[in-house]
Amino acid sequence: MAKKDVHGMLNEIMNYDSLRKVLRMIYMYGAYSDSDLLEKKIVDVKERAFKDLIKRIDNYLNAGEYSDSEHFSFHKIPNRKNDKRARKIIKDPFKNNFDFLASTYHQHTVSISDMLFYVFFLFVFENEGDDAVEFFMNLSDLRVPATLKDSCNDLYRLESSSAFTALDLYYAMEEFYAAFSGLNHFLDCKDDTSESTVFPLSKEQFNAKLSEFVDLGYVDRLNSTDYKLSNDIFSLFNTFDDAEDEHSNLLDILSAVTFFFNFSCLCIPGYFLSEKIRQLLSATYIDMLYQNDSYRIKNRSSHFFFDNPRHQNVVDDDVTWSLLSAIDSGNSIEYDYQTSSFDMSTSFSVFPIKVIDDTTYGRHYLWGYELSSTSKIKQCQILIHRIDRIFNLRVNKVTADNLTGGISTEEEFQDWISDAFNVDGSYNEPRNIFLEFTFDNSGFANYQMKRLLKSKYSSSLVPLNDNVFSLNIIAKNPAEAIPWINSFGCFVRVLTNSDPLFYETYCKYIKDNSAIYEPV
Amino acid sequence: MNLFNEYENKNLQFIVNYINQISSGNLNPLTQAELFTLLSGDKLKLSSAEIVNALLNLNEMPSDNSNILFKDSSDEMLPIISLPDCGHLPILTSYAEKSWLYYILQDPKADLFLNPGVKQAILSALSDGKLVDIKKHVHTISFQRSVFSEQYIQVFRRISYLLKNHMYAEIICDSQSFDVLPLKIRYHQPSDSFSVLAQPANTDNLISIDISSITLVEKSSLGKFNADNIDFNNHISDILNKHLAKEPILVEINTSNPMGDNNQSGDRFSHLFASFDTTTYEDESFHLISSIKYYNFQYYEVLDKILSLGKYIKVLAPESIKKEVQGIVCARTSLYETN
Repeated sequence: MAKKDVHGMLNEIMNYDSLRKVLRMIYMYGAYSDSDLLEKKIVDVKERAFKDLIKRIDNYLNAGEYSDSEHFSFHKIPNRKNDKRARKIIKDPFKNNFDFLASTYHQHTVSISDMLFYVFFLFVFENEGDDAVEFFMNLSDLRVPATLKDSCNDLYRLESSSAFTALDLYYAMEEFYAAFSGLNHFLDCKDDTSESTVFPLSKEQFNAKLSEFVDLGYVDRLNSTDYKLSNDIFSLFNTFDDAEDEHSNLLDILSAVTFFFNFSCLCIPGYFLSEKIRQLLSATYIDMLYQNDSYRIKNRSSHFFFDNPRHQNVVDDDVTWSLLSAIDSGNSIEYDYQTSSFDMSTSFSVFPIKVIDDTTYGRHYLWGYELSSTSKIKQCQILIHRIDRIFNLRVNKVTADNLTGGISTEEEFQDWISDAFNVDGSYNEPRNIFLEFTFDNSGFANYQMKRLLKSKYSSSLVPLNDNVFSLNIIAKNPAEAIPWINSFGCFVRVLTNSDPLFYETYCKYIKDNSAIYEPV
Repeated sequence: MNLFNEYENKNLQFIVNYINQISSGNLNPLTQAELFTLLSGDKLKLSSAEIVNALLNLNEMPSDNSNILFKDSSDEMLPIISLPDCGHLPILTSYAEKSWLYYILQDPKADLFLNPGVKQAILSALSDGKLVDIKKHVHTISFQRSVFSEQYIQVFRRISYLLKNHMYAEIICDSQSFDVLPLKIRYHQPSDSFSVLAQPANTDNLISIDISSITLVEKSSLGKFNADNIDFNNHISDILNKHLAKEPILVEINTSNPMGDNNQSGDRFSHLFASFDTTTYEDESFHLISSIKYYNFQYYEVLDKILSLGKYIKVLAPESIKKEVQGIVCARTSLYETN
């Protein structure tokens, strides 16, 4: 094995995490100077290592397939003397809709032994009705002994649709490795003095690899001894009955997947899928595309523009996915939660119930019960945490079944969530708010009227007379309702019969707001 | 169970597809140099180079089994194992990818992209394995959930088709008919709605049309966009540049925290303006300043976002927008004073 390369690659893998941290900060807030990033300790490295990191990001974003324009560059900051320039990602979404953060996952390197294991693993499986595997197609001029060729062609392969045991797989792969190293003597032009390779993994290592594949979902575990290759959904895509053209179907699926991964609550799985389909499509055209030298850029441009906060603020999808899996399997979890100022964190033990996707702000929350060591769930506090502040998530294998005793958590959740404007976690009494909208004939009024119709949740708008409407909303938390009401400017008025506490808060708020501008 | 794993690697997928295509006879083998270019891109990145070297057994230290492809006498790279006829290597998709695909197919928007036969085929392929029911575990809070009529689906699909093929469209909207060149389809998540950004024929204008207001779309007699062989994407950039507001809006974000209720203003600002090209920085006196670039057709949108942030941001420039916001804020205050 090419052991020499592995160490360097592991370093590279680790560095991707810090690369992502820096990218996230810049995506979120626009621009940071190198010294700001260092001071904020976004990544815990020394100055010199940090410079290397910035260089890598620069290479990564501005090289190769994205080289049509500069995406990560220095940007002048006005009004600042001592630190004049900062790093900025050019992110005009009309022109550049590529998600660099997501792509760091896909560009992520792989060690050579992992790669060989993966491809050999695929070689071992045969579809029902396949002919025997053939080595050396078109290789009449190679002097390969017939006996070796025969022994290779008789290799033991597993049926892709049947169950196998770990031992079956182990032996099949071992045989492949052995046959393979025998072949190499004839194929390799170099002076090869190294020993023929034995299967490079011990049984323990092999079992660890297999259970990794089970975890990822490449292999299904049927029972304590049997496994099965998970089904290849892509094999279907070419065989739809009503397909006019198989590629048009694949292209439709690609459009759908690309569209959805840009705004669904999980981005990375969709991103991987879209890249898989892209690769499948381009594999068909490789030689044609290669000749036109247009392989890389052409299929990047999308006909979509996504007006979506999340697109630019990718939270750590590993956390969201672990939460969803824990909810699915009914496990409790533990994690560290950072305060909004990111200066300290507290540990929590939680029984998770739902992930809340707030599309207005592109934020994601976890809704669950806080567990103390002995308490029954009835005494547990409902808790809402922002997913982007959850770190070091651990899933407890012990399920929380015994804690759910008699409570329908789904019902409680629905009860909690039933009113609008209650996302941020406070659990107060619902408050009635009465609003009156008056629109004039201006373009802005027309725009706001249309927006009101789209954004009024389920409340019903009652027309009072021409251009005047009344609306009643219920809010548990004024902090969520006020920005929405505010966005309508002077076209809306909060009526005095609204909840008195809310009315008072609101009046104070708008007074503060006008105080920042001089009166006209 | 991490989403982030080394097998979701572009190069691995490429090699699997390459072997499948060669085996099925759909592809003529490429030479080593060609493969090298395809895998590594123009500027060589370390990771790609190592992968390619390993595949082709070009590592400095030769190892006896690190190549999956070999070079035949005519310098073409062949897979060491060939799978005759219908044989192909399986393409592995993870548990998370399948769950995700299942999840999005349950969204009504999937119908805009996929015809019912394709959708059904994928659903039944997926229902075979183990999935996490993401839909059940995620609660989406949004202003509106759209239901799409047959007409809507048809209009959407036809516009996508014309857009992908860079063709002019004849649109009937509010019982008026006109020719436009569709440039981008825009999705607005909070209102769960689509609109098309289009250039009316023979003008340099840009208009945004809500897809729900379009009753019919036909291929226009103007045919395909082909202005002096200008690349379509360059054309979009050019026309957008003409509509970029001359002066970006400069705002100050209030991060002082007397009441403890506005420590998230920077955060809210960045979320609200995430789909705009913004630059945020601290000025000399440590005020958080942000400049927002926008296109003229987004003016009202920027205005409502600024209003919704209320006292947490202050518009500094340009003067005209500052006056506009100031006017609205003061007019609103007077509504309550008279009461």
